[in-house]
Amino acid sequence: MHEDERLAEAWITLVWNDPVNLMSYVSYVFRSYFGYPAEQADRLMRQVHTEGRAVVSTGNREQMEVDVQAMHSFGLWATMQQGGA
Amino acid sequence: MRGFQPVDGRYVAGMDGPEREVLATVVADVAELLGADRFGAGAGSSDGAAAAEASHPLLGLWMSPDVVPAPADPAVRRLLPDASEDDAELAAEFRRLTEGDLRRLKIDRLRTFWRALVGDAAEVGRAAGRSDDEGTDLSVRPADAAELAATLTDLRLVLADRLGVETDEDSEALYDALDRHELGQESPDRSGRELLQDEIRAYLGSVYAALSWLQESLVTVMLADLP
Repeated sequence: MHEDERLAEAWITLVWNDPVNLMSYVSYVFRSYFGYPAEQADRLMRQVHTEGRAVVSTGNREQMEVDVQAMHSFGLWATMQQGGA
Repeated sequence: MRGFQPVDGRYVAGMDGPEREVLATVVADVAELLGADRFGAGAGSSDGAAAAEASHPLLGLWMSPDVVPAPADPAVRRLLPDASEDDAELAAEFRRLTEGDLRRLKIDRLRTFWRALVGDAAEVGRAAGRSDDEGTDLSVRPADAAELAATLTDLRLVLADRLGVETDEDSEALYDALDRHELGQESPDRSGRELLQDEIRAYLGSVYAALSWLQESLVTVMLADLP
């Protein structure tokens, strides 16, 4: 399978902005769960806040189901979809 | 109330008896919304609403065999949200597979916090045996701190829904009103029922602000300990 076909079939996890979650907490979740460095976690957190949402992970459907469920357990609202945001 | 600080390998906050009672009540209320029996109530002593929720068909099931409807209460729906924005089939399938587990996880975390608040536990996540001086410390091991932080988010999500906080602007307006001690005094001509509503709103707002402050202090020490 070609690389562009694989990308087209890839799934993504989106985290959506909400007026409740603390910016520090969202960064903590991105760092502790995904293992992102502080800079990347803070950038994604700000993107969620200013743009309303951010892609936080990419993979196959089963992997994204795990990530979405984890985000919901942390109290973040996440959705999954196939293809780019 | 005293925010979380690292003390001897633990994260320790301080709150007095009345503060603990208020939080314990809110914790038990949110657990009931999720379908738990009233915390602290003996078997058979739950009231009608709790009994109805306790018989929720999802509880105790690892995987529901049938379609699971999304929760009608927007606050509960925020705790157990849809996994797709526009694909109803995907959201329904995800809910069927995961909602029972997520409900149980959130109820278990709330119960753990409640036990620490009412003094049944030495610290959040451990069995009884407290021995602090004033009986006001709320202590959590760093390994259990993420679960407590997530529970504080769940509590704040429900309170925010009841306070009508839907946007970042709503949130800012709420904090502004709290700062000015004007929450619940938005309407100038108030009669008895409205006064009661105002008092409830002011009360919920003050609990929301306290939980926000407590969570911020906890996450600050957690972030400092991340590698």
